[in-house]
Amino acid sequence: MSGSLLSIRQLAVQVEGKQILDRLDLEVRPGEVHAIMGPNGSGKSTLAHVLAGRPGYEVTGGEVRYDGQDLLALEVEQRAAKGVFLAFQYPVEIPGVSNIQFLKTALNSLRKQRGEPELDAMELLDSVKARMAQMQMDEALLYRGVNEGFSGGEKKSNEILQMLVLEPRLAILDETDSGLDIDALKRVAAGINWFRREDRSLILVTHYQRLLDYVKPDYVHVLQQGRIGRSGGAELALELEQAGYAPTSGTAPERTGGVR
Amino acid sequence: MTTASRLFDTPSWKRLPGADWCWLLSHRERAFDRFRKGGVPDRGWEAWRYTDLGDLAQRRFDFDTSLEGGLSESWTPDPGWPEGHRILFRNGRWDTAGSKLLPLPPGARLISLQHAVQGQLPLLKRYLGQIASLEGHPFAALNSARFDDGLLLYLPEGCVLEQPIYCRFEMERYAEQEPPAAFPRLLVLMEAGSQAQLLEQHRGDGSVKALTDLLVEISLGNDARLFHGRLFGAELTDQRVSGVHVNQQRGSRYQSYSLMMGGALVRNDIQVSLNGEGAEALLDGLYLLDGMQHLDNHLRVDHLQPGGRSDQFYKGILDGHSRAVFNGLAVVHPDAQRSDARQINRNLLLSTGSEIDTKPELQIEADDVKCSHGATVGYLDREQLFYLRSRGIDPDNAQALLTLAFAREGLQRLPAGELADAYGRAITQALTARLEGQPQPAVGAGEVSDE
Repeated sequence: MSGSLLSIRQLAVQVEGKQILDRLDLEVRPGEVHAIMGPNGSGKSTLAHVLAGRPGYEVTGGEVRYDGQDLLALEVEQRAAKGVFLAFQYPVEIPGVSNIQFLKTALNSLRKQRGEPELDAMELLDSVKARMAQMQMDEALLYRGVNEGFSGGEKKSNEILQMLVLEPRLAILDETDSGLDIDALKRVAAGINWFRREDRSLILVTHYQRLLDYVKPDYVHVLQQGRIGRSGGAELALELEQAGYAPTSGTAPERTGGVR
Repeated sequence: MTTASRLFDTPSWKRLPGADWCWLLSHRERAFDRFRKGGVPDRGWEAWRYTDLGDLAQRRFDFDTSLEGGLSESWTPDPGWPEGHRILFRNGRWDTAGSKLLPLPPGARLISLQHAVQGQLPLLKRYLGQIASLEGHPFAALNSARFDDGLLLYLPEGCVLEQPIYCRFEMERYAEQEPPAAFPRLLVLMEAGSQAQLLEQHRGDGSVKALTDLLVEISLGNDARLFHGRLFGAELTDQRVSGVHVNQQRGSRYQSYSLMMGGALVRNDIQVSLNGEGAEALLDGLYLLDGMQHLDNHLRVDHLQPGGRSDQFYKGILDGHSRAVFNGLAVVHPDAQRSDARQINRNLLLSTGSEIDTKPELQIEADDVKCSHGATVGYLDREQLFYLRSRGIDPDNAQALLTLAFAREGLQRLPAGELADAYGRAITQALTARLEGQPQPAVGAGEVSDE
């Protein structure tokens, strides 16, 4: 479909022989925010991981086109260079690599792959600090090991900080709201809203509706049995909050997403 | 003019310093007798089962290796290392021209052991050979028989040495002679409340197939504090066998950081006796090995009095066909209630040809103690690698970053400041040089842990 940044068709994925995603379709256009909701085990995180290229997932059918290219054929770091970003549900701790060193290496790796010159260290530091101020993050976190000993809220803020610094075109946020108190949730949501732009797209994978009180999605999809069972606007999330993820009696639509 | 001989050939006692001091001569003779009876350890010795000393007993060495000339001024520390007392040992002998001492506080003594022996200092009779146990330590016995120089450091009560003492050990060889063997001896005597930093730096020019048998004896009075850094430079290609024996009194603290990057064969023995209540021993080490290098670490801490703490934290990165041994033992004796003993040995294997034999051990004979031990052997962490790659960092860089991070982890345990920074730089330099243009390290499965 023309105009889509991300186009997923009939995607089927197995993990250790078990079918997790089964003929999943999704279209994401530039500037759109899609929320993917669903009960535990419905395949939400699998979708996020497959898009980012995590090893251990076997794609058994379908295709994923990103900016006109076969996304699944690209290496993990190539996807990142083309603007795909995954905010981890469980950010990994890397003792011994400072946060600032990590950001600098990541940004310059991306720039190098894109044929852009490396960023001056001071320039980078200034821009990172400005974004940390926006996120109300303690600057001391820059000099600690990546996520090492960070609180849950600090880890999630750190993911959003990376997103703001690396400026991807498609950000996939895997349960970024889980485990956050209300203040941390607001800070993370504010970061996501700063990120939103007409040339950037977001996929918010979430179990609960409450993040969507602060980040208003264009579309809400419910994942059921490995495919999208229901789609709607922001109001669908509220409805789910009331009624839960009980299976709907209606049939799954043939194609979902991007249908107004 | 010298003639080469073997380790078992009786030394020419008269040529060794202190030959006219009866006490010392009989000490030497007893030690040599013990060495000769025990022999060069082979793999039948439990403490040497992973280390093959091969033909060491048959090899001929040049024992009389006093060097003349060659140096006109003292060496300068590498950039970034703090200023300190600089002592150069060439083939085990204190080289006056190559050394430079700073002014010392009143009562402190820092002199060559040769001079101390010639002056028959009463301190020697009281301490020399009294801290190290020769039983089961053949190279301690050999050193006791053959040492001809080294240093004596004495700090009176409450004396604080602000600047570190550097001991640089270099081995040189005259053309057409047998490889040199050196037997330096360090005797460090610190009275109550004194503080010092002692930094060994083992260097070599890479061409000498020499043997160094170093013995260090350390006595720490009540509340004394010593930081003991040991650095085996990456360019070393010879054999260095070293033993450090420490006796600690109440509330004292011994902290060692051994950075071992070079040497064809290095033996790192550290034996600590916590002989006073609340004494503390922190033994940290990092080894970065490659090629055919062989390193054997043997640590032992004896908790003899209550409330002591010991912490052994050794990490290693092995590449090529290198091999390392970690044998760490903490013994908590019956009187040592409320002891805290911890041992960790973590290893990162970058090649399938490298090997680590690790054995952290605890022997507990008291009931109120806190003890833990663990060892891991593994490859790089997949989750960390994926995280870095998902941010655009290519696999080579991600691996280099993680390897460096693994190596630097223990640095935060060092006192912050110039020293920790200097070690950090040395590690980064050595690893960067090794990782550049290397085949990709192995990744993934094979994690073994009982931590």
